[in-house]
Amino acid sequence: MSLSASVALRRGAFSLDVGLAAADGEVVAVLGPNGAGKSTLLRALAGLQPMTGEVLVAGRDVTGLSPQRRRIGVVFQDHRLFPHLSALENVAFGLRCDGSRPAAARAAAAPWFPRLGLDGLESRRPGQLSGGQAQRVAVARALAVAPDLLLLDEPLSALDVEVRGEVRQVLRAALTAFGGPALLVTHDPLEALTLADRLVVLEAGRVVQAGTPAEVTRRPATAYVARLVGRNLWRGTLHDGVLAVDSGGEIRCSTGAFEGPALVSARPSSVALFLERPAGSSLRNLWPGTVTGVEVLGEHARVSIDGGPPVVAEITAAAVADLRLGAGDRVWAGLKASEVEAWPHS
Amino acid sequence: MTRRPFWLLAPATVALLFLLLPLFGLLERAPWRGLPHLLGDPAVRTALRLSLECAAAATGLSLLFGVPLAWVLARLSFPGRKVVRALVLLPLVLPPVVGGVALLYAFGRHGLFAFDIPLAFTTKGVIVAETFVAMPFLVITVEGALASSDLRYEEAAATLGASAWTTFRRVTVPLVGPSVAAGAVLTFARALGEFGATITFAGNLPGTTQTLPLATYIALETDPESAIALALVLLAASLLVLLALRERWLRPGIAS
Repeated sequence: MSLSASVALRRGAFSLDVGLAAADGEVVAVLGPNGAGKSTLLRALAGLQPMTGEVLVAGRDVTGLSPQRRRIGVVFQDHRLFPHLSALENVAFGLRCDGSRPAAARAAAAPWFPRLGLDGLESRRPGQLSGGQAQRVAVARALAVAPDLLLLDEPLSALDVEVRGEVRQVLRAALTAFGGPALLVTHDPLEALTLADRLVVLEAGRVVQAGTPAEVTRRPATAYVARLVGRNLWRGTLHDGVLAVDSGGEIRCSTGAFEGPALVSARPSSVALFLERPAGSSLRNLWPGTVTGVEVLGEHARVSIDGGPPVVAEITAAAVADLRLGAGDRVWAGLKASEVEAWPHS
Repeated sequence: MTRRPFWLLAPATVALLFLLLPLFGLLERAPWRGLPHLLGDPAVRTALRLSLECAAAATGLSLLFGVPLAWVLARLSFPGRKVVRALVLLPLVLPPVVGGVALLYAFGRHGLFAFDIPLAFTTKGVIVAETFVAMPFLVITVEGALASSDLRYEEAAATLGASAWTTFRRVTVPLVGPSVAAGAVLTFARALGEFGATITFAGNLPGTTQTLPLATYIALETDPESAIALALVLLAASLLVLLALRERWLRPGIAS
């Protein structure tokens, strides 16, 4: 393991207590809502924020070291390129701090430009670069010194949506070529799922779930994660194949494989909606509710329903138009027991 | 359309005339024809050279010590920081003559901190007096720039392996470069025009401590025409300073 850290700190009412590890060549995404402590965690690892605990990077204990001596590269959300230096001088900056002569540092910095699709931009000042270009220069600047660990703080969130995808691809290639451990802080699930090998979900300063993107997507551990990956999630007690939902109502599952506290999840696309109670239906879960919101995303629409167990149904946008669905409408939600997944939860 | 209190124009015009009329008076009485001859006078040229040299030296000293002082005031927090800041700015409001007297009793021959090198009534004394009066201009200008420039770039530099000194030299100072330049120009202008502290601490010895303002004042008694010529030189220098600041001050962010 090339990064192994336990970070604890307290700032006013907020406390952070997190253990983390990342292997060489592994990209770990730290996902979480605003205020979860993601950026604080990253700043603590970089040495920019006082903390207690331990940070081991490439087998070296850097806990007591200043940021300058940690050999940890950081890509900030706001690229933070030095405005008085050209793009090339920005990338060469860290190499010069390592003791290289100016000419040697510039020569070593130059190959990063074609590598990140920045040909011809070497002599531009940061003010003359687009947001996407500037962020790519910032990635080059952080990687040019061959750090032992790379930290990325929401590297794409300040960019326009149109260039985000393009920069994400460049970043993906750069991370693959990097070879060291990388930690990516983000609140964008797409960013996490496309760039990371492993996800760590942070809520209120604590790790609530960790695993591969597939594991986290299939079995979200909290309502936040479920919403993030677009799944319905209910917490409750399973008895005889029926989940008594903590917040009220019940969900029938296909098997009574186990008993006790459980998390139960279903994809929104497996939830059916009806204006009237369907006659003679074989659906084992069927309950009336009130539409609280309709969100149209391209050809699909997500309809939130309250009344029974809170549920999100995904139907086609055309169906929403046909049914003339809107907030406040009374509907029936249906869910096949075979579409429900349950697992124990302590 | 909001109504504007146009009656304000009357006192505004008076203020403008009050500021400009003396300059017209000076220009009107200037012996333009004899100017080359008057400025060619060895005594005038000596005073001019001495003034430029001393003001340049005072600006250099202010940069050397004033920029670090500005950094300390802007970036370090220590008890009594506000008091120190007020003391640093004291020479801005102190009558220069009082400054000169204070310097005399501090660094004069029988002063509290008398050095082996005599300062009072020497050219070095001129530089000391000018630095004392002018350095606060540099300190407040640079301190203001440092306080408003955020620490994000310095953090980025640290993560790239830059030492505190490298960060200060290659990031902090260039970022506040325009303000340092503006402060230096202001300091130079203030030093060039210094009168009270200089005459009190360094005296008025032609060739050694008699700078342009002193020479102008003395010449007014004996040779009004050359006094006007000397005053014109100082006026030209002030106009150059205004021009320099117009270029530098209004264009933040880019230096080197």
